[in-house]
Parts: sequence; C-alpha cells; structure tokens
Amino acid sequence: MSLQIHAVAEIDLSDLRSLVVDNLVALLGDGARLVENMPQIDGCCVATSDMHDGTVLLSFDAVDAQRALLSGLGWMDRLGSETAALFLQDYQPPTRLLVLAPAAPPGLTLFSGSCNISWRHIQVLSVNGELGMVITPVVEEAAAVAPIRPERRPTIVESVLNPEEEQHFSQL
Amino acid sequence: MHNPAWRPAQLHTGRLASIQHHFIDQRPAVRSTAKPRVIHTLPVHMAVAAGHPAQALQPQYLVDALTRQLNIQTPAVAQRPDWRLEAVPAGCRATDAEQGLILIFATANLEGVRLAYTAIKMLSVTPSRRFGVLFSGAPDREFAQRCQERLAAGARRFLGIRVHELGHLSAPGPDFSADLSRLAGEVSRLLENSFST
Repeated sequence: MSLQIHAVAEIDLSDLRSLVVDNLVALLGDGARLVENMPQIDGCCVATSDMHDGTVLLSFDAVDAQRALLSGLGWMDRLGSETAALFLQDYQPPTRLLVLAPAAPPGLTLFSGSCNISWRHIQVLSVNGELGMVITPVVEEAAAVAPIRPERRPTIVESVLNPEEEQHFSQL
Repeated sequence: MHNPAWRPAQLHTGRLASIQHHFIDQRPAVRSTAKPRVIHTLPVHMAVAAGHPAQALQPQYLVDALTRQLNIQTPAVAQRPDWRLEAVPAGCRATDAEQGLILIFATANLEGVRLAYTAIKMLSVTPSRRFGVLFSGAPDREFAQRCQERLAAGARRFLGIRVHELGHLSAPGPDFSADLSRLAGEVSRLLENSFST
C-alpha cells in the first residue's frame, strides 16, 4: 500500500486546533493536557504538563507565523491581567508562550525580552486523506532566543510589610 | 485547574428567590428629583486570597448586590447620588473615588488579612480616608472575629488608622438579605460621615 502524502495549504482553525490538542504530549512532554474550564480561544489553547511548572499558552497558525505570535502575545496579556485573576479563584495565568508556525515568527527576538516565549516548526500534511502534523524540533540557537527572564514581581505583601508588621501578621 | 468563575456560581433558583427584591426595582420609574442624578464611585479593594473558599461570598457577587442595595436603601446623602461600586484588584493603588471611604473585601484567613492590611497601608497616604473592611469565608464567627481583630490591631498600631469593621458576610443563603441590608446601612452611615467631615 502506498502512502499519498502531500502538504496541506489550507486548514480550518478547528482542525488545526484538534491536531495541536492531539499532539500535546509531543509538544509539551509527558502528562500534557488541556487546562480545564478555560474558554475556547480561536487560534490558541492553554495546556499544562508534568514537565513544566505553570501553564503554557499555545498559539498556532498553519500559514502565518507572525499572526500566531501576535495572537499569542495578545492572549498572554489578557489572560495574565490582574483583572482576569481578580474573579477567578485558583486561577494561574499562562507563564509561557509556545508559538506553532511554519516559520520563525518575525519579532520573536524582540518580544522574548518581556515574555517567556519559544516556537516550534509545524507542517500540516495529508496522509492518505487523513490530516497530520509534523513537528520539527528547532535548532536551539536559532529558535530560541534565550528569553530574558522577566524580573520576578514580588507580591505586594512582600514588598511593603516591614519586619514588625511581618511578625504581627504571621498568625491570626 | 478549577475556575468557578466560568460557571454560573451562586445563581440557583433558591437563592435567587430569597434575594429577588434586590434586583427587581419596585420604586416608581419617575424620579422625584428634578436634577439629573450624580453617580458616585465607591472603590472596593479586593484582598481575595488564592484560597478564597468556593462557598464564600464571591467578589463580583458582592459588588453587584451591594451596589443594588445601596441604591435602594441609601437615605438622602448628598443630593441622593447613584452609587456604583468598582472592584479594584489587589495591589492597585489608584482609585477614582472622590469621597473618603474605601471598602476592602477580604478573605477571612491569614493571607486575606495580610492583603487587606497591605491595601490599607498603600492607600493610607491620604490621611482623610476611612477604611471599611468586610470579610467572607470564615469557618465560624470566632475565626472571623480573629481576622478582624488582627487586622484592626495592626492598622491601629502601625498606621494609626482605625478600621471600620463591617463584619463577615457569608455566601447567599436564608440570612443573606438581612445581612446585606445591614451592610448597606453601615456603609451608608460611613458615607454620610465622610460627607459631613
């Protein structure tokens, strides 16, 4: 039996999302799963795995790498805002952005200074009529511009309580 | 991950029935005052800890319910303004409030007390401001009292501020209507005082 393989030029966003979700373990490692109770986001999804602390926002586009990057940054901003956290109990905003695109997203170097961000090369293929996704590891030096780790923001409690106050508020 | 805000918490029919008079406005549609109403913003700073119990009063519910209640029962305070409560995230210094009262809604646990104190400390640069603190999420009355006392003692000792204790409000239930009414009355009294001073 011969395999009919060809590159897919156009793919529905929902199909691409399904491919990404099906390949979470390949992308994020063991235990990777979608974060429950998150809203459906077009072109993005939020996942977590046993290999990472915190959650990862995956932003994907089968054609336009820059669109994937900008969309991901926009959602990182929205999901990480204090307003989002205000009403959501036990809410952990994404701490890392993973862009999935067919090319290196322009501007990645610039934005990596303010956000923990990386990218993976993807290509959507049709194999005997079935959709599949090839995930190509990216050479470390070329892909991942070492992110400048954002300064850890101290919690407000840490920043303003003096030792006397700390002692007073160490117990009820 | 558990995000209760994505589901319609606290809105089942029993609770709705017990508080329906708060959101069905039975007053005459025609205002008695000739002048257009003034809307005043009252900030509610959130000192909601990560472990805020799911069965406790939730921030947005408080903001909505207290806004409604204040606009229903506030007596003639300064040209009968309309009140709009505004939730302010923890750690945010800015407040657009034009009056001297600032409300703080805190989780009744150690982290909530610390967040509440921190908010007061950050906002206390304006000496004329008063702070009213409401707790929710305590397992019992005694625990809530300990939270209030710890916060009040710290604010008095380190900041020289007397915190107005607004008590503890549980999640909507049989007594919620009366508790909310009492809370709105207390807030109204503080607002009157802040206008008169």
